[in-house]
Amino acid sequence: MGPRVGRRALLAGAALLPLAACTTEPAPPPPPDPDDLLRGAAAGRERALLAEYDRLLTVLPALTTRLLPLRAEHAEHLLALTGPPPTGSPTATPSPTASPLPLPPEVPPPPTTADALAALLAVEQSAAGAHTADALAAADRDLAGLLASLAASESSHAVALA
Amino acid sequence: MSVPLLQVLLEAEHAVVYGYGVLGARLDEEPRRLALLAYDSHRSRRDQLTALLREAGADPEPSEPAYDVAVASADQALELALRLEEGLAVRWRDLVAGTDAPPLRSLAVAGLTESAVRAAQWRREAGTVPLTVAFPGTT
Repeated sequence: MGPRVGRRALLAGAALLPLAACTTEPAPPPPPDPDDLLRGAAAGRERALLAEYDRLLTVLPALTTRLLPLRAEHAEHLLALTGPPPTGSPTATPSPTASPLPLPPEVPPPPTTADALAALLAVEQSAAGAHTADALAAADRDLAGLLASLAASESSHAVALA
Repeated sequence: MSVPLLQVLLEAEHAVVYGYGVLGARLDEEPRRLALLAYDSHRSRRDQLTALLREAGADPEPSEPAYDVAVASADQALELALRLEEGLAVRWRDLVAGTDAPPLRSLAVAGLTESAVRAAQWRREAGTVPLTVAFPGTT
């Protein structure tokens, strides 16, 4: 029983004190909203995809024309999940997630274009599968719709990577 | 069971099946093969939706005798195919956001994904860039 309880009870009137004192426990921190966790996990997947595109664009600049439009779509996905970043610090968005995000499969620097595209395709497909599962789990229907769109988008990237 | 949303989808699939029947005839070998695959897949979805509606005790919307589609060239056929898939994607996304039932949502995400992939294939066939959109099923 902290001082907060006493103040509240006094405000509510002395007659309520015994009841308030019995029922008011220091509130535990509310459990995280499951939808927030889904949003955070999806944002983690988009960040991993962006990192993978950036890595491959550095190694194989010849793919720039092909990959940049796809990368731009992932940036839009991330923005839709997290909202605009705070002004002046585009990388400052915190991601307080309860569990570590699944990482994409590690791939060595790709020696060929075909390997690079196959590696990207694998990460896209894995993200599409996870977005799909999370779209089914989301309680908020708008979030479900967004995750479904992201799943469809990552799947359609296979056409551009083929 | 979201009967009204399923009916909207069934009506849309009827129109898409009809549209592919018309446009496929205007296409050359490779795109025509793609159109045939799409035609078969949309017929399956149509039948699946019909069955779901019957299970829900509803009367499935019948197909119209004909739809207003005019296709005079291969280019127009590609354009129509893309439009059909993009329109259908919106309906599937509406179903995702219109139901809490996991089996229906699962069906809807699959339908949305298929339409998004097909739309990208039609853009590729038509030489349209970019091949993809960031948020399939939104307008």
